[in-house]
Amino acid sequence: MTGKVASCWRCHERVGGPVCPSCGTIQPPPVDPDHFAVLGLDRCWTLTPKDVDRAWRARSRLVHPDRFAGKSAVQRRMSLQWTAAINSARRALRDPVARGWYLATGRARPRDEGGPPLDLDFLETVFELQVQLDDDPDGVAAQARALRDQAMTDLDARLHAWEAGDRQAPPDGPA
Amino acid sequence: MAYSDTLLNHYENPQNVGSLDKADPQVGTGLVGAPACGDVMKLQLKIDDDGVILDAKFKTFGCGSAIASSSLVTTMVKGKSIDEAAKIKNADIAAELSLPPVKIHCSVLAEDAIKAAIADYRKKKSGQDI
Repeated sequence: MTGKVASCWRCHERVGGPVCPSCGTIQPPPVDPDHFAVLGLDRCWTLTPKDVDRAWRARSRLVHPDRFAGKSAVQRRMSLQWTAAINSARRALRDPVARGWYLATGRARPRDEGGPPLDLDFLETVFELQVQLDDDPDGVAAQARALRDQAMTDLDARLHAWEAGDRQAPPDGPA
Repeated sequence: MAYSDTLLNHYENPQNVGSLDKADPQVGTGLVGAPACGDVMKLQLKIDDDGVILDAKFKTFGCGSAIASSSLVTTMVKGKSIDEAAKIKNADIAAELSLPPVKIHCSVLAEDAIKAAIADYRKKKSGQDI
């Protein structure tokens, strides 16, 4: 649910979601939306893309423009605004890295436009790895597995710390 | 859609694969990559004091078009002056290999590699002169 309970702008009954349960009227979309709240999700990193899709689909069924085609121009507009909001939220949260970015910065990760420019050190690392991969694929695979395991261990530790209340962004997190 | 014979030839029998001594003051090394596809291309040029390219070697990790583009480039630049080589445009490479539109970025990468190698050589030279 979007968290705060308000009253419907048409029938003044209590409403906690995008659509009034009493009269079926769509509510104005949040002005400064939290992407989690827009999808009715708790702020949490440990979601799967499926969780996000499921939440998006449930919201989509509620606010879809087809449902409001016969309603007033105001309701049709709100339906479009809600649709745009849930689509943005899905885009911001579906990918785990994007979701982490959003949690850490409060902003959606900018859309990928071919990635950051590649610096020479990074290219050299990639090149060297490719050479190694040609020479010793099993060795590189073992190295990659070790790196992955280490990364998962670090991630778990940080997640536990973060969920235990140390909610400061990690020092080397995205700026 | 079929790839051109020129492209397939360069892919199946790449010319001038290998490397030159990176520390050699006559050698310029260009290392470029495409974030979108993960290709990395290393082009090395051996250049004499008159600015003529004596030798060219490449090593590319990437798709067939990237390999063919870099192979072609090594054959194009040998014997040219660095000023002439710097004028090679990705369109020339794409036209020579009849690259399909989705592979044009490979020729862009090859052009960038020439420029990077020349820039590296010039940087080495200017370091010497001072």
